Order: sequence, then C-alpha cells, then structure tokens
Amino acid sequence: MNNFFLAMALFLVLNILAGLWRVLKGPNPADRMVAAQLFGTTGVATLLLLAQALESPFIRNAALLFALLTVMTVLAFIRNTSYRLPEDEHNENL
Amino acid sequence: MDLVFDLIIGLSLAGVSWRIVRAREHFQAIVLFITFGLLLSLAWTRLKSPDIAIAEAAVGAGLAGVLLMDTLGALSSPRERAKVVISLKLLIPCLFLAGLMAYSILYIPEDFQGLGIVVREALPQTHLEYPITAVLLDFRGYDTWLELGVLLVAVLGVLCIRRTDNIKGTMLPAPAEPVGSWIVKLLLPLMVLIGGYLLWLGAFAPGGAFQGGVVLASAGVMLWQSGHPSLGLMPRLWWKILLCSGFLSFLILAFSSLFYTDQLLTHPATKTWILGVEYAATLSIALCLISLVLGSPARNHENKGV
Repeated sequence: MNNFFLAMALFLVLNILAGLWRVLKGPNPADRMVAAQLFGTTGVATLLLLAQALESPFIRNAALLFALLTVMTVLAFIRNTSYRLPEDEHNENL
Repeated sequence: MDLVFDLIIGLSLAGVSWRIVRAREHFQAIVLFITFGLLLSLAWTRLKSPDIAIAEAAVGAGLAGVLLMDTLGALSSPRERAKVVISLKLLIPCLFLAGLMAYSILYIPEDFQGLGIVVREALPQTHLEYPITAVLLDFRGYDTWLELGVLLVAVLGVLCIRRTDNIKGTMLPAPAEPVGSWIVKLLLPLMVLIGGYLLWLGAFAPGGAFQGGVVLASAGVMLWQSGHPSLGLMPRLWWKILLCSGFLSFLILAFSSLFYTDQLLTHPATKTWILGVEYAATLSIALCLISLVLGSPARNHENKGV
C-alpha cells in the first residue's frame, strides 16, 4: 500500500515538472503565477500522500502550511502588479 | 519506487536551481524559486526530517514569495541577460570540495546513528518529550540564543540602512484592495491558530518556536498586505520589548542561573523555563520577521500606477 501512495506522489511530482513548462514559457507573469499556485495545490496533495507512504503523520502539518500560506505570494503579486511587468518574448530563453 | 522518487526529486532540484540562475527575467526566477522551496520541502520529508519540511513550507510559502515580489516591485530596470561565465579559478576548487564531500560519505559507517542515541539518553533530564526541541532549547540553547541575536541584529541593520530608530516609521500602509481585506477575515484567525498549534506541538512533536513564529509573522505580513492599520497601532515600546523578548529571556535565564550554579543556562524547573523561553522566542521571531519584511529598504510605492 505504501508503494501505491509513493507512486501516486511520484505522479503528482511529474505533474509539477510538467507545469514547469508553463513557468519557463510564460509569456505573462500571470501565467507563471497561476502555475506556481497550481504547484502549491499539487504540493499539498503530494505531502499528504508522502505522510501516508512514509507513515509520518506530522508531514501533514507541512501540507497544512502550504495550503494556508500559498495565498500570501498571490497577494504580494497583486499588490506589485498594479503596473505591468514586461512580457518576455517567446522561445528566446530555451 | 523509493529510489525513482528520490532521483526525480533530486534531479528536478538541480534542474530548477540551474534555471533560477539562468532565467533572464526576474519574475520567472521568483516563480522558479517558489517551486524550488516546494520541491525542497518534499526532499526533506523523504529525508525523514518533518521539522525542516515544516519550516521550509512556512518560510517558502509565507515569507519568501512576499519578500521577492516586493523586491521586484522596487526594482525598475529589467534584468539583463545573465551571462554564465564559469571561471576556471573557481571551478577547480569547487570540484575539489565537491569531490572531498562525496568521498567523505564512504567513511560513514553503515550503522551510524549520529548523536540521536546520546540525545535520547539525556532526554529525561529535560522533562521534554521531543528530542529536537530539547537540542534547540536546552542542549544547544547557546546556539539558539545567538540565532535570536542574529535576527535582532538584522532588524537593527534595516534600521541603520533606513537611518531611523523607529521601525514603525518605515512601515508604509499597503494599498487597500477588496480581495485582501476579504481574505484577511478568513485566513488571519486560522494563521494565528495554526501558529499557536505549531508552537504547542513543539513540546512533543515536530514544530516549535521557529515554525510557529514564521506562521505568526505571515499573519502579520498578511494584515499589513491587506491594508489593515492595526500593526501600526501597536505602541512603539511594546514593539521594542517584543523584538527583544526572545534574546532577553535567554539572557535572564543565563543570568539567574548564576545565582545557584557555576554554569550558564542551567535551570532547575526545566520544562517551565524552556516553554517560557520558547514562547518568548516565538513572539520575538514573529515580530523580527515582520519588521524585516515591512521595513525593507527600497520599497518604492511612488513608482506604481494605481
């Protein structure tokens, strides 16, 4: 059963890695920010699965903190993007 | 399966950090750094260190993102394309050091337990139930004391740069936005509750002063972010007292222990003392971090439009 949880956690980590593509490509800061938020949600699920897989219940507290605090970055993002961040061109940085 | 998971986490950590260095745009680097914190937290759980995973989660999600976003907001010029110049002079010592460290792994015995056994044997003397809290606040209390001093010095450094003696004076009110003021009602009570919960947990499980303090600091930063004036209403004297309370409680402990013994930082009613110091340290960590985030120089609200 633990292997099953670990495999599921691995699947979610691969999801995060797939989402990194959006972070690298952009093009808008908002796209990247939403990707980071998605990672936060996926990270909560991954940590919960790891807590089961490793039989270490206190890892759930780390998941709790991610669920609670990820919104802080978005608030800061909104506060700082009352002016526009420059978009970067496609395909230039890969 | 374990090995595959660890390998993927390890490789993605290395890959993401490489992209952070190479990213030609600040914002991308920030988002990658946030992702890096998440992956790091996963790595710490795999290394069976829930304490560090919780601390990483709190700092990475709660404070690092806000600090970096504000820094970006204060910078006006876009980053020029980073040129990665690998200097041979540096490469060779770095590779040598990395080789030495990798080599040293061969010398760790298979059944090495670290200092865990020693700590567990001495644990009953502290009347605490959790070895890491015992190490941080009792066995290595001196280190923790000085770390609180480092935080205090960092706040003083901000004051020096800002050329003021009033940390509150450096605080600018954040623009009030509807989302912020709505979400603060929802999340602030939860943050205070969970900060207190982590602090309470520290006596017998992963958690403790630092993790609780960071969550409380996030609550304070959130209060400020939502444009709420309450942080600024706290009297300046209280602000100063709370900033110093962690360092001060260790100082009082060290001083008072000299009355009945020759050694610093020993205490008879251990658990009461330790919990007292831990609670004071939490408040002081929270307020120091709030001061550092809010008092950071180069915050430049005038440059922004609406």
